[in-house]
Amino acid sequence: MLHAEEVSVTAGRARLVEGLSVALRPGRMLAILGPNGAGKSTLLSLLSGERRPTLGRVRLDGRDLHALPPGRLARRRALVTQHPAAGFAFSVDEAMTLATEIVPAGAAERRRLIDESLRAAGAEGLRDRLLPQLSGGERQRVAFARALAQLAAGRRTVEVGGAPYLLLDEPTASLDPAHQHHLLGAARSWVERVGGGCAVVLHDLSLAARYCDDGLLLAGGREAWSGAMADLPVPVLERVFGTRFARLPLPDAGGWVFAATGQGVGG
Amino acid sequence: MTVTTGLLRPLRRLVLLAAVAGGLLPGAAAAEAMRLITIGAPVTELAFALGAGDSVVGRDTVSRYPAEAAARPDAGYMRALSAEGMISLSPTHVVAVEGAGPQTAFDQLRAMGVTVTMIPEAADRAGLSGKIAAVARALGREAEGARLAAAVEARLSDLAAVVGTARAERKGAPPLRVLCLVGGGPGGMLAAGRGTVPDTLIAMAGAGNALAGERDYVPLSAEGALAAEPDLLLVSRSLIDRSGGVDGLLGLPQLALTPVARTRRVVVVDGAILVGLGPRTGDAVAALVSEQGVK
Amino acid sequence: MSLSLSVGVAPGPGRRALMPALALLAVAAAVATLVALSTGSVALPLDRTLSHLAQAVGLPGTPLPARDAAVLTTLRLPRVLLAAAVGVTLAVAGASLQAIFRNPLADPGLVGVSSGAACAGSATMILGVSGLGLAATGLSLATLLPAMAFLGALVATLLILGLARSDGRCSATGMLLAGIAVNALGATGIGLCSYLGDDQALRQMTFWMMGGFGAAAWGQIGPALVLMAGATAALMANARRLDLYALGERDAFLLGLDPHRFATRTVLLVALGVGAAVAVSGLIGFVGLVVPHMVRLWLGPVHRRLLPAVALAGATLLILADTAARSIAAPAEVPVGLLLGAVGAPVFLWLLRSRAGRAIL
Repeated sequence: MLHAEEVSVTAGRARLVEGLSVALRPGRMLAILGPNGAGKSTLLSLLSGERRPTLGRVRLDGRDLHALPPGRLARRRALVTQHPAAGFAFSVDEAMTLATEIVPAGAAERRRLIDESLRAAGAEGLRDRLLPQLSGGERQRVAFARALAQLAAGRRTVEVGGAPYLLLDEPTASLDPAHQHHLLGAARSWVERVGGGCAVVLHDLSLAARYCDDGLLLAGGREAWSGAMADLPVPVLERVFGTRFARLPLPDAGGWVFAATGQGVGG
Repeated sequence: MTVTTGLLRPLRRLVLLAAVAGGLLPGAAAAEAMRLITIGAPVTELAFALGAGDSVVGRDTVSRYPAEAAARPDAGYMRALSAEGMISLSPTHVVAVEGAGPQTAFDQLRAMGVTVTMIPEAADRAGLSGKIAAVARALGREAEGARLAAAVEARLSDLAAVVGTARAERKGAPPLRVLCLVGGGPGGMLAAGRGTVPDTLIAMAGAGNALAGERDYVPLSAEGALAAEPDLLLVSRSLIDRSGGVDGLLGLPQLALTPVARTRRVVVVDGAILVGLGPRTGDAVAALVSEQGVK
Repeated sequence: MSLSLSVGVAPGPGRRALMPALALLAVAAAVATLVALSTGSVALPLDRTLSHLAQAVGLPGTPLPARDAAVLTTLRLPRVLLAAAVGVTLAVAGASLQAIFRNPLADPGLVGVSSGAACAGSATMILGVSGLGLAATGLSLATLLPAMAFLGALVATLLILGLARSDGRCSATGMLLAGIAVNALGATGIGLCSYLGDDQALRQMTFWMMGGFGAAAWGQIGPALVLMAGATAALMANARRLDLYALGERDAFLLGLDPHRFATRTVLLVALGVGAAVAVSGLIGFVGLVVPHMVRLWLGPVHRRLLPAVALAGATLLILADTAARSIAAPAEVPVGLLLGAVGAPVFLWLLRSRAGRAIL
């Protein structure tokens, strides 16, 4: 379990996150929701070990996350950042190879991991392209594929019971609707197939309701609501986002879609 | 040695070649087989003045006097010499002024059996005699060295006598102030202070260095030149050439307001004379003495 | 080690296969070495040079006459070896720094390492052995100069790492800014030295800073060769981590690298190698900049492919440059640094203007 306990982060005078507790469980997918500046990305960087909490702690299977060396961490968790960097003119294939090299493996084995991950992310056609030449959406798909390849490689050495954790920061921001569903569907099937835990920052409540088991709604760095996605209460949403929402049942598949109406709350 | 006949000469060569091939030091070879590289303008001039000019197979960039020396291969700037460059001239002896280098190049030449002699720089008349003797010794021409040293010494002591008389006649009045300029430096021009060769020349000529307050060569500012109040300029020919003649030089902003721009008393000498004391030191001193109007 | 790993990285789009490229570069380096050994003021024909070298290692061959043999073994061999070592060191150091700063225009000169070495070297020449209070030790300037230059590089590096440190971490941006400051400091120090120095020291200093291998002798290049070899080997073994780092500090951490420790370690290794190189050969520019840049255009940015090729290309370039420097004005010599600047600057400008050059920036 990847567990943040009562974590707070202050930067200067600003309190980015305050007294948050959240647990990522193997086999479950958590949606992190909230308006801009609510502390969603900060929470992900705490869970990834990049950032150290000012107060509280983050534990991976009971051990302090920040006591683990980066190499060990890389085998257990992957983070797809909001704006994947372009950097040097590496090709997609070269960047994917680097991600699989966190553990020793033969060339054929790497090849297989890379192929599978690219296919799962719907990015197999991008293999020979150069990173700086990709569009925003293509870059997101490649970053997702790279995270899958990294965790697939990491699992080759992970001790028994050590589930991998996949952290996604607005992975669908630059994707068209079809690709949004494809990517989240791939994340969902990874959770079910591998038994890992996944946290995903989303703005689209309908996507969150469709793919995630649990939800965490943030406002001003604090928890506004948490629980099963199916129970997401519209009044809390409306208070946090300051706009009215329509919650409509999906005709065929079941579940709900949410639509912000743009009308103000109150009165 | 003068009895060596045309028949004997090739034979000697043969013996020498055998000796070299046998690993013997070339230093043991006869004088006429000497192949000499001279580094430093005064050293080159001394080698020629001592009659060893025919043995000179190479020289440094600055050594362009006498004209025969300028015709010899240029082995490079005296502080950036190359061991292989010098070796390619097949020298048996290298005679270099103190400060030439790099040291490694000389060490490598020594390791390959070349006799390398370093000649200490001279700061006064006695030093010049010692310098001539040192070069002569390195060339195995002690007799010629003694003759040359005596001639140079005689000329300089004659000049010293003239200067001494003039000083007595002046009755305590200050000597003329001489400013020596050479090329180089940030403004294209450096002035000689204390501890330089021109300072020695000026002193030998009984004049005063206008820049006695500075050490070594310094860049000259307009105000510095004005404060120095030079009555007379001592300049290298190359600086005059680059400045567009005496008019061009005196027209430069640094000099335009100084007394010498009106008096136009300029002594021009070969730049190599200003590099170190040597056989032509007397020429420069004599020129300075006569320009001061001393008889 | 990095060579065997490179098999796992497939060549990217339009990227040449690695092995033929390395073979080509190795042949070029070998040819350059032979040209260098048989070219110079003293004429040593290639066939007789080869024959001499063959018999020296126990194969059938005819030895050269004593003088020519001495030219070959005591003058040219150490020079060619030093030129090759400095070429490898500067090129690999340049490529490494470019990854650390994620800027294809980074250069050992940029982080103040070279200017620190140059400043200390200048001060040594101006003050002399006695001026440094070391007259009693009996050291010569020739021994002291490399040691002081290396010390200068080290001090500059520690200063940079100290200045760039905030919250116990060294970021690449912090190091770049600190490097610029240290560079300015070094330039001021060099300026001060040239202001204070007498004519002789000044000229000596000027020639040293132009760079060259004229001082190469077996007895004097040993320590520098060891330092350069050690630093370069460690940098080459870093190739995979350099790739991770080049992805960005954040991605590097996510993929298991401690980016701040790695950057610090790399910059220290660069200082070690470059300091040793400057100490024995003065300031030689453009190698650390142009060689990695050209090889990157050819083989792509993956460092396991890049570094071995960069090393061979750097060695070849400096061996040839030194051969030209020895031959153009024979028996005199042209400073190698000057020659490289004269040829390197226009080539680099052309590269920047060319379409291929822009694609990688």
